[in-house]
Amino acid sequence: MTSTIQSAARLLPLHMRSIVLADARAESAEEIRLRTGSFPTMLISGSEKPFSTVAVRREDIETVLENASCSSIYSVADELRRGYITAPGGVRVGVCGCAAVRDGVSALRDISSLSIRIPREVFGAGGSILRDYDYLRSTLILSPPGGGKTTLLRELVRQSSNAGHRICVADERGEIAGVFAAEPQFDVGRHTDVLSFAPKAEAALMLLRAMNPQIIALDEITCPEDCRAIETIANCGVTVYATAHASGIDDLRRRASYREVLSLGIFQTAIFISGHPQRSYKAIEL
Amino acid sequence: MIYLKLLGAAVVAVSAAFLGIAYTDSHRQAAAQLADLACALRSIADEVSALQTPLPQLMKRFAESSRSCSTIFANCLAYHRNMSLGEAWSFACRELTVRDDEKNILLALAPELGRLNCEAQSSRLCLCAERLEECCLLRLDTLRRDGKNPAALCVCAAVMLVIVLI
Repeated sequence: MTSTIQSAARLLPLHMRSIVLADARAESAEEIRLRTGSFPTMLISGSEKPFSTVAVRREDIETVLENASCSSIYSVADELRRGYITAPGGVRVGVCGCAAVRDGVSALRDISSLSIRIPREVFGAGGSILRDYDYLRSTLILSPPGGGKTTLLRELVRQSSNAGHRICVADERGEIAGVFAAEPQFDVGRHTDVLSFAPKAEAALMLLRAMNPQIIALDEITCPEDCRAIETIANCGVTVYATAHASGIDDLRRRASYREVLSLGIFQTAIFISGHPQRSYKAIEL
Repeated sequence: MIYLKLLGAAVVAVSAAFLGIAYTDSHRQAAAQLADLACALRSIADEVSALQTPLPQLMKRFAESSRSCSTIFANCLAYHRNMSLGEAWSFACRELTVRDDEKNILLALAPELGRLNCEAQSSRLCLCAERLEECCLLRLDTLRRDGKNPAALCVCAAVMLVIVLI
């Protein structure tokens, strides 16, 4: 069993944990999904397969939440508002329930579904693309959701860091480095500094001011603030690695905030990831 | 023979005095433990409020310290391996050698531990610390007022016993 599956299984109630750890299919599982009143399932090669014939109870969901929040719901309240918790080991737990709304979603209650995403640390991800790569080129990694962007970004960070570049990671969701108790749970290289759980745009500017980076990496640029932060750090002569949800460059150009970033010529290379579960990578010059 | 009797009487009287002193001392230690626990809970509340550090991490820090309250945190973390933090806290509190009313103050924290938002959690911890400090003051007050009484009573009882036996 890989340590990431064990990290994910540790979140489950004892009766489910033993089943998952004994199930050979767990090695290839991408997610564990729990829905109150339904059988728990594992997402394998894009389809859900039940791993127990005992329906998920409300207490099971509460146990997972307690484990994922280190028994301190206040420490993940902000993340919970955004619909997920990052548990120790970089395991992301997506949450569904009833939203309490006051100036936007202020809290989630009566949580009914959980999606425990098992992170993958794939050494050598990206294949030949990252061989002899010029790490000081600003790079945008693109794929549809679940396509392996974070895995490739982590590999790019690790390789460029081990090549001697000072690299800072704005790890808003704790998925890139999975820092727990001040230690990254994933190998992100020897010269990497990680700022976890701060909003990306804010974190990127903090890193720029405080850590004198050559490269800043951030996952999933989504909003105009992220794009503005990227513009600022690129204008300061810092290389940027970023990821975005998109099926291709045309898809990205259709969105106003990305269009601006692309028109500024910040990114020199885009890497597209396609195929599931066998990934294929394609790099193009922008 | 009379010397033997006198020696026996002295042993009984001294033992009784020690019994009384030990009783007073246990009260003094319990008061110190409560004060230390209150202080620890206030520190935890401050850190929860300022840094949102998870409770098990904070408890670990106190469990590894040499403070008199380290046992409750160490026990709580040991129980927490197999149960929720609230349940673990309840079990750890029940093992404390304090009065029931003091135990109940600590037990009242259990259902709320780790389940509230930052401000609420911090204020509950502070409230618990405040109530423990009141208990501590009460104990110290009692000790100041009646501190030597248990020892004196024990000695008196021992003297009576000696008279009866001789």
